[in-house]
Amino acid sequence: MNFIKQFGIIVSISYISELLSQSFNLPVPGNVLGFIILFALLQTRVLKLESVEATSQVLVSHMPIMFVPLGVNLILYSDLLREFMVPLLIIITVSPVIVMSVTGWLVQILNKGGRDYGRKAA
Amino acid sequence: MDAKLLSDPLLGVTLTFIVFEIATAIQKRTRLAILNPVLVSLIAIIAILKILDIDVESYQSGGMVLTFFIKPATVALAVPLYKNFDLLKRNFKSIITGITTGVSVSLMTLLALAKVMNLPDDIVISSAGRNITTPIAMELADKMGGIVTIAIVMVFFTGIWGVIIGPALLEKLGIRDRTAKGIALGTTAHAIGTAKAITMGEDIGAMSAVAIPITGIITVFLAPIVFNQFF
Repeated sequence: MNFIKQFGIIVSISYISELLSQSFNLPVPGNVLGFIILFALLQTRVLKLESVEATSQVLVSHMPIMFVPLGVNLILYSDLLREFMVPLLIIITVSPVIVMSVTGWLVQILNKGGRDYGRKAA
Repeated sequence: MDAKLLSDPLLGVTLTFIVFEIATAIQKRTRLAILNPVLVSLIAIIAILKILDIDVESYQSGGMVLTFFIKPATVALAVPLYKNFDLLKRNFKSIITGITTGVSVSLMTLLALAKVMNLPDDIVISSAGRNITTPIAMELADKMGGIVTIAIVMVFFTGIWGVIIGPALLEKLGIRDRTAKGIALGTTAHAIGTAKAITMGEDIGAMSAVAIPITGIITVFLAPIVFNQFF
């Protein structure tokens, strides 16, 4: 299936999810709902993997550049931020170190107690 | 420059592409994590706009074109998850436990830092959702009485910083389990972390992607409970 057609499917799911999220005032934002819906469609074989795979790969692997204009927009907020710049920077730099360490370490430890560890040992 | 040319969306798109390509090349050459291409690009673009006296609105008429793709790209993350679903099923319990603990630690760290630095309540509340995806973080800040714009800034830069420190930190801690790597990146750095995780392997990307909604939901539940104890 061609690239544009695949993109059409993904955009349609995004839009429908956005509509659902907003019109029913759901606690889940549209893009997260779309992620769940696309996953469910694939899992139930309503959609074949081939009908979205190539375009998804392109979209997902080019995500970083999409965040650049979003970051540039933050200049607009710079006045508001100036006053608390230092404490906010401390939160931004310190907290991810702790959160990432604890989460990664715990998941690895718990996985080692499970089947994965046994498989590696065998 | 002619006003019409300035407001053409092609300006913002072209500028972003060129700057991002250069920033990517710089990181490839230097191998310095701190020279994160997204961070370098946005600083460079802000500088270029200031120097050439182009206003942000002109730039954003093209910037919006790129921002538009974030939503479909987030939806498309379902594909790597579908292809690696067995990882999630097999490690479901440890993933949920890891994320719940990560979110709790995130909130505790925030409260501790806020207390030490004597930060006002609204600033603290606005930072509560910094590990979750922007739309959920905005909603959370709004509902709890925070400042939405600060919430967005905190989410964005927590993501960038998470990506900068992530790979080296996980390496240093000896975290080799690919599920653990993905979950750690996604729980800390949401979609920006997932964009990085994908480059480390499709399975790591899938685990990072699955952490986004789970971290979001757990934070929305836990943040009000934790904060009510302290404020």
